[in-house]
Amino acid sequence: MNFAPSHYRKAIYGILAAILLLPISFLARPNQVSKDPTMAGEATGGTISQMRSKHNLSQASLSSIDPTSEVMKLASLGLHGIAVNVLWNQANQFQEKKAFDKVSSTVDTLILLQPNFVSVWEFQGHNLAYNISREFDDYQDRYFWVKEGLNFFTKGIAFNKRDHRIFDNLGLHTGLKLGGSDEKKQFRQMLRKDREYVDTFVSKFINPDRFDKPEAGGFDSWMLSYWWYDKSYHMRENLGVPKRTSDLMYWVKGPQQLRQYAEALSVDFRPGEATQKAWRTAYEAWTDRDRVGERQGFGKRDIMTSFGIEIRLEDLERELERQRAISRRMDELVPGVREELYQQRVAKLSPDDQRILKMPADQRQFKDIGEMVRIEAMLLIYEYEIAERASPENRVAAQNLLRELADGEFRRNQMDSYRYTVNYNYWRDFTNMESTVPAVLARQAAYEAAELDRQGILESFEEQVTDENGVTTTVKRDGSIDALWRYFQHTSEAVKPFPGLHDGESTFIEDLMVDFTKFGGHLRDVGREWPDDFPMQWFIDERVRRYGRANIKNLMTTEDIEARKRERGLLEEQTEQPEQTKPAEQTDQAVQADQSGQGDQ
Amino acid sequence: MVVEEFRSFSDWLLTEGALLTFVFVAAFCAVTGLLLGFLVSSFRHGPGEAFYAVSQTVFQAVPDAFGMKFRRIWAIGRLAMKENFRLFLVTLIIFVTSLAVAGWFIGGGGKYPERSYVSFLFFAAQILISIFAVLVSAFSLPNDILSKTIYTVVTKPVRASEVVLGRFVGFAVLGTVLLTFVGALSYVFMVRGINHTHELSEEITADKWLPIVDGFTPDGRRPFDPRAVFESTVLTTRNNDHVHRIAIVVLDDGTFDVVADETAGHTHSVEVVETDPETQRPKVVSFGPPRGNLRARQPIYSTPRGDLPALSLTDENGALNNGVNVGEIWDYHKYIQGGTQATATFRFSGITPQRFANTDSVNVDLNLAVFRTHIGDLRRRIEAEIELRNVVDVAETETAQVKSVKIPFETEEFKVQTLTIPRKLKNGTIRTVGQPDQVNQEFDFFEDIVPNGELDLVVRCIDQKQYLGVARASIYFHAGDSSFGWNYLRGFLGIWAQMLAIIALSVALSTFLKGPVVLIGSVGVIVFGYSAKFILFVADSVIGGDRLADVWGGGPTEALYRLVTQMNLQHPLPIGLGSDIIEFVDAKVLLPGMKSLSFAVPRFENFNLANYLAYGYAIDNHMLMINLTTAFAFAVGMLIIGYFCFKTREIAAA
Repeated sequence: MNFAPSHYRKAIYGILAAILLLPISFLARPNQVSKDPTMAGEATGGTISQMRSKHNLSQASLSSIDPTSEVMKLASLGLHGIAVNVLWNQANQFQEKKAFDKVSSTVDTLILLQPNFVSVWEFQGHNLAYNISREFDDYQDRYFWVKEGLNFFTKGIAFNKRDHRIFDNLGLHTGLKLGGSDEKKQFRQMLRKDREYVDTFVSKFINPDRFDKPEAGGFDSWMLSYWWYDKSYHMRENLGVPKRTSDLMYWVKGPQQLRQYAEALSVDFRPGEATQKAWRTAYEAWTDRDRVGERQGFGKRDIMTSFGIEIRLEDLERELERQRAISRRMDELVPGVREELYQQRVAKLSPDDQRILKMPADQRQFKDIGEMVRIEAMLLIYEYEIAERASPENRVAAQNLLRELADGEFRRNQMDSYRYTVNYNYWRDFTNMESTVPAVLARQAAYEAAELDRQGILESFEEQVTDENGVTTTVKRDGSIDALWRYFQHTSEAVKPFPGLHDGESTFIEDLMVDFTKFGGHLRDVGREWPDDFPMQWFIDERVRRYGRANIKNLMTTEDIEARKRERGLLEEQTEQPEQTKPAEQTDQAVQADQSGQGDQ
Repeated sequence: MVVEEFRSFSDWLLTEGALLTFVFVAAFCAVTGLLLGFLVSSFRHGPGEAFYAVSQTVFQAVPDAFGMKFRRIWAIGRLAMKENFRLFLVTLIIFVTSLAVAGWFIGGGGKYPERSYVSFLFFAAQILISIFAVLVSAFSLPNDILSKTIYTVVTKPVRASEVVLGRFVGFAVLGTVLLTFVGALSYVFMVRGINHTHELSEEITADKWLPIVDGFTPDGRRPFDPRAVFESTVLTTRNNDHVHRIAIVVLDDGTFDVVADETAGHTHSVEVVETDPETQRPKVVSFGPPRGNLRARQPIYSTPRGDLPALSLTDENGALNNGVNVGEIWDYHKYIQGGTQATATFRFSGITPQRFANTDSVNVDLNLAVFRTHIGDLRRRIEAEIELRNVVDVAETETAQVKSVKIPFETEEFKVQTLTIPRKLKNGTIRTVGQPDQVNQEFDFFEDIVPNGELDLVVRCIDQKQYLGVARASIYFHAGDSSFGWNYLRGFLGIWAQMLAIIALSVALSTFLKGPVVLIGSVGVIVFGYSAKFILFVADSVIGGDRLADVWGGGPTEALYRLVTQMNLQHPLPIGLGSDIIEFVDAKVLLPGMKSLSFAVPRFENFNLANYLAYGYAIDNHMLMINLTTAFAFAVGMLIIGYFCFKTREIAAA
C-alpha cells in the first residue's frame, strides 16, 4: 500500500492525541469509592478530581445532577452562555409585553442552563412573586403568581444543596409577600386553607403540622417563613454549609418571623392566651432561647462582626457592668481623683448649666434635655486622665486596667452598633411588654374597638337581652370610646415598666399617637371633650416634656386640662356675678373658651 | 391575543406597496442581471458577441419557459427525492427524538400549557424544516456538477428551466411530505400531552362544601363561577401539574349543576357519580377530558368607518385624545380614566346574524388592562361598562333614533373575558334630538342595534381614579369557533410557505455557487430575513441621524469597532477621522444597502403563525394569504434567477 504524506500526518496526530490522553486521564481520574473505611470521605481520584472535591466545585457536590439540565447544556454545544443571554432578553421582552406565562416558561428553560447560579434563582423568583404578581388586578391571580415565585425557589433547592440562600429567599418571600403586602389579609386567609399547595410544594421539605396553627385558623405564612429559615439554619449548623450573608442579618430572621407571627395573631384575631404565648416565644427567641426551633436565642448567638471579633448582643449589659467594675478598681487605685476632676469641671460650668445639672432628671424640659447632652460631654472624664495620676507603684496596674477598658470599650461599641442595626433593645422590650397580661388585655380592647368602629358604634348603649328562661334584662354594651378607654388603661399599665418604649420615635409610639387622635375624634363626634383623667395623660406629658409641644400635635396636656379647669372656674365666677361683666364681653369669652377647648382636642 | 397590526391582503398588496416593491425589485434584478451578464460576456467575447449572447439567453428563456414538460420536471424531481431520501429519514428521526425529550422542557404546568406546546412545536418544526430545506437543496446541484453526474442530465433533451424547476419540485415535495409527518406527529404529541383527566382527591363530605356568603368563600376566595352557591374544599388530583376546584352552581332554570373551574386554560365536564343522601349534594364526581384549551376563536374586530378610526378615545372631558400613558414601557394599551367622561369607542361593521354560530345571543370577548392609582377595595375588581349603540346616518342625525344599551361588568385582566349579550336586550334607551329620552326599552340586538350591520361599542371605566387600558384587539365580537385541527393545518401552511422560499433560494444559489457557500449564503439570507425588522429599525435610526434617541451602538461598523475595543454602548465614539469614516460607512453605505436588501428578502418571522394557535384564535386569512403570496413571489423570483445562472453557467468548467 502506498501511503500519501497526509496519511502519515494523520497517523502522527492520532498517536499524539492518544499520548495526550494518558496525562489527562491521570489528572482527571474520577473519584473512587474507597472500600477502606479509614479512607471514607477522602478524595481518591486524579488531581483535578481532588481539587474539585476540595473546593466543592464538582457538579455532584453542588447538587444532584439533573438530566434535563445536562441535556440542555449539551444541546447548546458549549454556547450556553449565548443561549442564556438570548433567553434573558426574551424573558424581559415577554415581561414588557405582559406575556407572563411565556416569561414563566422562558425562565424555566433559562434556569436549566445555569442551575447552580443562585443569583438567577433569587432574581427570577423575586420577579415572579413580586413584579409579575403585582401586574394582576385580581388578588387571587396575585396569589397564584406569588406561589409561582415560591415554587420556583423550591425547584432550586435540589440544584443548590450547599447554598442556604434558596431557603433564605423562601423565608423572605413567604414572610414578606404573603404576610406584608397590601393583600396580606387575603393572602394569609387563602394560605390558611391551601392544603393542596402545602401538600404539593412544601410538605417535601417541611412537616405541615409545624405551621398549621389552630389559633391562626390553619397554615400561617409567618410560621411557614420561620420554618424555611429553620431549614437554612439547619444547613449552617449541621451541614457546615458556608455562610453567604452577615451573621447579624442572617440569625435575626428566624426570631423576626416569630415576632411577626405574634403581631399577626394580635391583629387578625381577638388576642388571648395563644397570643400572649406567641409574644413570649418571640421574646425568648429574640433574647435567650428559640424554643420553636430549639436553638440559641438571637441575643445569645455568637455573631462575627466586620472587625473580626465575635460578640453576643445579650452580653452588652454584662460588658457594661464589667467596665463599671474596672472603673471602680481604677478608683481604688487612684482614689478621689475622679470626684476631684468632676468637681473641677462642674465649677467651670456656667451658672445656667449648673442649674440644669442640679435639676432632677424628670423635671428637665425639652430644651434642658438638649443642653444636658452638651453638659455631659463637658463633664466627661476619660479613664486615662485618672490613670495618669496614679502613684508610681500603681501606675502599671492602672495602665493594665486602661487596656482592659479599651478592649471592653471596643466590644461594647460593636455590641451597641449591632444592636442599633437590628433595633435590638426596642424589640426586646416590645415583645416582653406584649407578652404581659395588661398588654394582651390592651390588644383585646383594641380589637374590640376596631370591630365597634367598623359597626359605627361609638358610645355605650343598652340592650335588652332575654335569657333561656325568658327573663329579659338590660345589658350595657360598650361603644368604641369605652373600648379605647380600656385599651389606654391597659396599655398604660403595660408600657410603664418599659421606659425604652416611651422614648424616642417608633412605630409603637406612632400607633399610639394615631389612637389618641382617633379617640379625640370619636369624642368630638359625640360632643364630648378630652377627659380630665385620661389614662395615658402621663405619657403625653412626658412626650411634651422631652420632645416639645410639636410632638403631640393637637393633643391636650395636663397643663391644658388645668387651664381649661381654671377657665371654667372663672366662667362660673362670672356667671355668679353677671352685673360685673358686660354681656357682650361674656359671650366673647365663652366662645373663645369653646374654641380653645376644641382646638386643643 | 396581542394583535399589533391589522393587515388586509388588498391593503398590503396595493396600499402598503407590496406589489410595487415586487415589481421594483424584479425590474432591478432584471436590469442588473442583464448588465451583469453583458459585462461578463463582454470580458469573454467582446461587446458585440456579448450583446448577441445576452439576447440569445433572454430569448431562449421564452421557449424554456413555455416548452417545459411536467413529465421531465417530475423525472428530475423524483431523482432529487431519491438522492435525499436518507436526509429525509435522518431529519424525521431527529424530530421524533426531539419530541421524546421535549416533554422534559415543556411539561403541563403554567397557566396555559397549550401555549408552550404550540410555541415549542412550531419553533422546532420551523427550524428543522428550514435546516432540512437548506441542506437538501444546497449540496444537490453543486455535488452533481462536481461529480460530473450532471452530464447525464444535461446531455439529455432537458431544458435548463426543467433542471432548476425539477429540483425545486423534488425538494418541495420531499419537504412537504416531511412537514406532513412533522405536523401530524407534533399534533398527536401536543394533544396527547395536553389530554388528561382528574379524579377527586377524596370524597366530598357535607362539611367540605363551603357556602358562598356575600360573594365569597369562607377562606376569602371569590368563587370562580358567579353562579356558585357552594364551593368544595376538596380539589381534584394534581395531573399535568395543576388541580381544579369544583362548585355547585344554580342554572337559569333554577336547577343545580356541578362545574369545574378554568385552570391551565381549560376546564372539564363534571358528572355526579354519587350523591350524599342527606344533603343531596354530590359526594363523588368524575371528570371528562379537557375542554376549551384547543380552540380557534373567530373574532370580528372593529374596523375604520369612513374617516373614523376603528377605535377612538376621549379624555375626561369628552374631547378626543390618544388615551393616557400610565408609564408602561409597552404602549400597546391606551388608558381611559374611570368615573369621568373618558370613553373608548370601537366601530364595528358586518355584524350580521349569518356570521354568528348562535344568534340567540352574541359573545363579546374582552382583553382589557387595568391600572389602579389607589388600592381601593382589593376584593373587588375594577368595574366598567360597555354601551352598544346603533349607528345612524349623519344626514339623518336630527331625526334618527339612537338606541343604546349599557351592560356593566367587572374586569378580568390578562384573560379572555366573555360577555354574553342576549339577543333580546332590556333596559335600552332611545335618544332623539330635541325629545326626552325613552328609557326601559326592549331591543332586538340584530334588528334594532345593528340593523345595517354597523355598531358602536363604547367602553367606560366606572371606578373613580382607576384606569382601563384598551387596544383595537381588546374587544371583538366572537362569531364562533372553527376547528382547531384545521387551524393547526393552516398554521403549518405558514411553515410550508417558508420552506418553499428557502428551497427556491438555495436552489438558485446552488446554480452558481459551491455547496458550503450555498449553505452559508442561504443561512445568511434567512438570518437577514429574520432580522429585517431590527435592521430597518437600526437603519432608520442611524440614517435619520437621531440614533442616540433610539438605538445604542450605531451601525454594523461601529458595533464591530465597539466589540473589538470593548467600548461601552453609551460611550461616544472618539472624535476624529476614524469615527467620521465609521459613521459615514454605516450611515451612507452599509445601512442604506441593508435597508434596500431587507425589502427583497421575506420577513421569515412572519411565517410563524403559532401565536394564533397558542392563544386560541383562528388564523387570519389575510395573514395567511400574505405569507403564501410572499413565499411564492420570492420563490418565483429566485427560480428565475436560478434559471439564468444555470443557463449561463459553463457546466464543463466546473
